[in-house]
Amino acid sequence: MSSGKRKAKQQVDIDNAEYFDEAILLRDRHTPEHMLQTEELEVKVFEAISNLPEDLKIALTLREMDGMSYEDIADTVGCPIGTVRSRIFRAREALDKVIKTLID
Amino acid sequence: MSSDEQINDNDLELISSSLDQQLSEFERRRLNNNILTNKTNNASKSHPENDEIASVSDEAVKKLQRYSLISAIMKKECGDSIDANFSQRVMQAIENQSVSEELDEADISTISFNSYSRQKGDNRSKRTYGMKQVAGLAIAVSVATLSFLSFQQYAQTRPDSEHFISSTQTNSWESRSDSAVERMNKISPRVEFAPVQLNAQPSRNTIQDVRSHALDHEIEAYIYNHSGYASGRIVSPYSEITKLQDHSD
Repeated sequence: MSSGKRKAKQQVDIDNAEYFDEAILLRDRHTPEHMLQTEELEVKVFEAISNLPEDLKIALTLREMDGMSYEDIADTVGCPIGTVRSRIFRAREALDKVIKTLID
Repeated sequence: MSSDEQINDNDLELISSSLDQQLSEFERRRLNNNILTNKTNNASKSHPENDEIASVSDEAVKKLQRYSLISAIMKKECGDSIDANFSQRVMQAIENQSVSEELDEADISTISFNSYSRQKGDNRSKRTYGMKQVAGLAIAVSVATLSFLSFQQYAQTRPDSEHFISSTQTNSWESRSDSAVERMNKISPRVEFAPVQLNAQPSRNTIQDVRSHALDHEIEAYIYNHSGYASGRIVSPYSEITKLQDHSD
């Protein structure tokens, strides 16, 4: 016997669908506020990237922008895969501290 | 103790590597079973030890979301950014448009006061101005020609005009007859004007020559004077004198 109850159907007008709590994908996210916030985030992230140490910056850039695998990055930089993984993680942590203040 | 400190660096490094899909099978299973999926245990609120596990998993999920956001920002996948200089560009476009309009007005005024201007940028306006002059001259010439021709036509077609009277008075009778034929043919060129036969021979009855001549003249004058009122569409009267009778007796 199933313990879960069936959810009651909730009728939502199609014109108001985007304001429905569960219809996140229907909402227009290209609002001026969202675009300004995105631009501010981009500025902060790239500013933080420019302030990263060189080895972290190279590892993260090769991964995110060039799409290289950890193995290829290790071959390119000349270091073990574990080091590449650690550098990428530390770079992301540095950027996470920057954007966490903006998001929260 | 904050929630960030509840996740050790090894777990965070696993989360970072999972975003790049660079985990081994063992690491992936460990991440799914011990770090991320502990959120399902949040349903059993009766056990206080599960709250700590749930907060750890929540923080891990948020960490994964922020890593994904960083990746999206670096790959320019966050959509179009707003153009903060939009108003400045609009103002610049308006200023450029006003400047170009002022230049056009200056060209037009220069050409109107000096048609032989030697400026290089006003070739198109010069051409337009010359075409307007030629068109005005052509219209004036055509109007003058049309009025002159219509006046001539009106003077020729009017039967009681002075020109007509003077011509009938000065020419001989035969010439008058010919001019009437020509005039009627001009009025109605589709209809061939049949002239009055003036050479009808009178009968051999005894008629005095003087009186017959006078009667002939009267008849011819009547026919001639009334032939002018015939319209162009109507066939002019055709008469032939076949017999003359003397009623004086």
